[in-house]
Amino acid sequence: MSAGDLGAAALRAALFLALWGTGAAAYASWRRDARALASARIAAGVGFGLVVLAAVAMMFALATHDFRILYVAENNARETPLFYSIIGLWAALEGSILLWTAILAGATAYVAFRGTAAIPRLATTALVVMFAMLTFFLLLITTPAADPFVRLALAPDNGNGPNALLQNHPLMALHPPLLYLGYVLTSVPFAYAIASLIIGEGGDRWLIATRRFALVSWALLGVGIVAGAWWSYAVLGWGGYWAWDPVENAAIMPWLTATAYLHSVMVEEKRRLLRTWNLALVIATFSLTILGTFLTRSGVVNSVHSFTQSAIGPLLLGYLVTILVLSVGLLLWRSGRLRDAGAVGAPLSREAIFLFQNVIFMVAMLTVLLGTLYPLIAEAISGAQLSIGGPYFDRVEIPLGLALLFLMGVGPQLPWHGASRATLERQFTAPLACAAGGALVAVATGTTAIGAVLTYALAAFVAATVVQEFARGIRARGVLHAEGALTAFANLFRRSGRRYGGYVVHLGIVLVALAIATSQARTVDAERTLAPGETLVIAGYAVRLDALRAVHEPQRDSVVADLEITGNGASSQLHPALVQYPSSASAVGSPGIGAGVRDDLYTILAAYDQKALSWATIRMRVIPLVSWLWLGGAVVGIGAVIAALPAPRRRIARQVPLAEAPAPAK
Amino acid sequence: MTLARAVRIAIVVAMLGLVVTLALAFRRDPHDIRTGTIGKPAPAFTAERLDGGGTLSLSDYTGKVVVVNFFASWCLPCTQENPALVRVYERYRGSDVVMLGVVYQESRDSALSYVKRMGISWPALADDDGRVALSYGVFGPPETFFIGPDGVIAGRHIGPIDEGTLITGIEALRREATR
Amino acid sequence: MLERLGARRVLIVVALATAVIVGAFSVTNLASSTVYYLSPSEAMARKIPPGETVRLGGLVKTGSLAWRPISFHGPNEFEFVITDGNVEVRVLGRGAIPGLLREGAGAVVEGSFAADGTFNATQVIAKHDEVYTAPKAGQTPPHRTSAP
Repeated sequence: MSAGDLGAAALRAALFLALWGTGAAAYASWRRDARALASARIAAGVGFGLVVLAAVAMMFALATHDFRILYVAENNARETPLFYSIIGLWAALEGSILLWTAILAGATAYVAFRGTAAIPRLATTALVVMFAMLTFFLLLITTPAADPFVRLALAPDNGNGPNALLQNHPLMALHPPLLYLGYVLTSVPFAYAIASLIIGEGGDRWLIATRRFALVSWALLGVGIVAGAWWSYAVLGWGGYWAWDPVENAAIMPWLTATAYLHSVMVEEKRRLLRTWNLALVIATFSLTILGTFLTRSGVVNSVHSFTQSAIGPLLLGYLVTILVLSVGLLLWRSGRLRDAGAVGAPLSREAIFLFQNVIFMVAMLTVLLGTLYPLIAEAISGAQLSIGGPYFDRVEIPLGLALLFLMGVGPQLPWHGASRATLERQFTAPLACAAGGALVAVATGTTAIGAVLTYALAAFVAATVVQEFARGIRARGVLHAEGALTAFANLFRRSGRRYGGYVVHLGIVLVALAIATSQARTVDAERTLAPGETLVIAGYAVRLDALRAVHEPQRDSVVADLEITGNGASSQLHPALVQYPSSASAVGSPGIGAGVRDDLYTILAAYDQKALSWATIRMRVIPLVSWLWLGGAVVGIGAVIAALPAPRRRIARQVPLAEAPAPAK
Repeated sequence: MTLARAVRIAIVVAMLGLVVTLALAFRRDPHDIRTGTIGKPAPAFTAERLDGGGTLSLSDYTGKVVVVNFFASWCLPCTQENPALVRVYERYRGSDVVMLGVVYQESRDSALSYVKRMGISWPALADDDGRVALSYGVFGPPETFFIGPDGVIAGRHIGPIDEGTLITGIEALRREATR
Repeated sequence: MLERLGARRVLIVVALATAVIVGAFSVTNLASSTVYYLSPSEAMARKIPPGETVRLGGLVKTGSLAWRPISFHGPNEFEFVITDGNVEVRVLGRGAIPGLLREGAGAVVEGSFAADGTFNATQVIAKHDEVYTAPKAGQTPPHRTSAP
């Protein structure tokens, strides 16, 4: 029995278990039957094991170059290094759906074991939803259109190898799994929300139970998006990191609604408001991940990507429609039970700012959605094929981003219910002074673009509010617990991780905003054809072409330009190349990047003399502060980890109620 | 309450609009850069046979149903669809149905060894400068064109084709011819 | 109570105003950011006025691609013919052409027509369809090059 047969059999067995599990969990939820629940748990655990087995079998087939499998033959070659063979699991449609299914099976198993132990009724109903979704994906992956284990009648001697762009950089190992984890884990809060609507529970327990899942999926999505931007920057060789391509928009939309949710959740926890709204946000986030999958996998969107029409499109659309109809229907049906306990207070209260921030996030999501779908709408109406350029998104989303940056500084500084004049003065005097300082720094360093100057001012404003919060927190701990500054700093994270982790996330966003504003406003570039020994001068850097050489490796041939770069106190050697893979008819560029705290030096070998290697066309971009973008992404991730870690007190409390906790008092 | 009802209706309408837009999007082919070949006279070509059996022109087959299949040995879906092509070729052997293969961006030698290995016994034609593929607007192999007895392109299939699709396409054209 | 109602009203008005302003702003921007995607035949039939930004999709005619490192110390120029089988358009541009652009393969160029009917490309986007592949798992972003 080959790995391929094993994987195919495992997926079919898992499909059977998922069907069984759906039924068993539904019966357990309906009749509160412990034996049915035990059966569903076993189905979830074994099903997860089987899907992981299938994924491992695919990795094994890729690593051993088993070209009897069509997917392996299309996405692997004998020369492909082991590392890129294994990550070939997510190099194309079928494999990435397999990875997706494996993550979903893992989340299902988690809900089955951990969730149902804590709050049986709600979690068992959520388990039904998880199983139903898993069943869909297993059905999808066992149809011929998306089956990764389809066999070839005649195995070729060698495969095509992975897409050249997907075997050029190790970031490919990181970015798709992070995004998929983020996408798939949004299904857990969704399942709980739906379960809460199904059993007609008006309370907030679904939200408390999945708070951490929502945070983790949001963080993975965000870090995955930044990793994707980094990959795009490091591989595609056009010197940018974001192009408002449908694939990128598909990732940013659920992130926007998830961010809105993370904030409005606090309003529900503290003030028992916005119940319907929070359910709607969770449903929207999850639906957007499916919409994004549909847009990027079905081939309906006119992207520069090589999309082929795929037979799974109608299936995914059916899935999306089912989810929308059921969840929106449930929400409308049950909305009568979802009474808010009171109303939003003064306009200058924290909940009001959160509400306003939510509105802006929704508007941002809807405008991205509009720009992404507009070509489809226009074609459906007039038949004209068109595309929406980056300028639309820039002009609409940048002002919204600035507004969000502003609210990010204001919101945490305002108390719940409302602020007095004295509070406003105490909270905002120093940050506003810093904002003015930020604007001055921007102008002094020669930034003239209004958006960039505003970004600097708002970044300084937010950073000052965060520093102020930390300073006050440390001082308070010093007084109350007689702790030294460092101990107090650490204890802020330990005792109130959610709050102070959130501030760290805000600092990460500030870094990202600064990086985007600076790199967009102040990049310079130049292109010259050089003979060896000649020099190109740009922005104070001298780029000398030392040599042009051909390099042969088993899986590829490259032409590499050796560049010596001096200036601005730096000296470095960069090696942009054009790489030819045997499977690909044309060469792909591999930029040479000199990353720096201040400037990134981005060099591209655009063309060369193919006869005698006597000249090369070099393009160089000097991109300031772009590395802060990746750093900011990491800081966001760290902040999210701090916020997600359980506080020491809560950890003890959590072990006590094994039985169903009473519903919160009304 | 009327506000709440208006919100509900707006939500339902928006969802409906979204779904209809997405569903309508299936009608389009992202690969189609509007070379507009369906319904137009098939571009004429004369090409050399790979096996050295001289040249062959599309115009030789006026009045017959012609299936033109673009392929390459490096194209795995071509390998995948090949058994279907072989079976359909055997089914119509000696009838008024002609099958022609056109090599897509590949050297004659490697294409010829593929043709032998895969049991392709219908004429396989060289297209060294890609002129034939260009005139048909081929994006990448495999692509299959159905040309009616009147010399008009009646159908185009992008990607691997199966036996059913081939037979349906051919039979539709044969019925037309006898009418 | 009155004050509360007032606060709520302020919030609703501010939220609605934001939504309406951004909505109107984005719709107007949508119109001005629209780039039509045409085949050479359609561009000919519609008589696209010179200077209007459009995307032309077609195939790079075999034997038409020329790339000239004219001056060693200035930007380079390229030209090729894009065709849909019926109409051919001569495309001119500056800068390096993307590595994925090949004769006989599909390409999309963005730019505008000059008065003499040639097309000035500001962006060349190659469609890398030379190998039949399943849709990539959402990680195959654009290959673009902008002429400076």
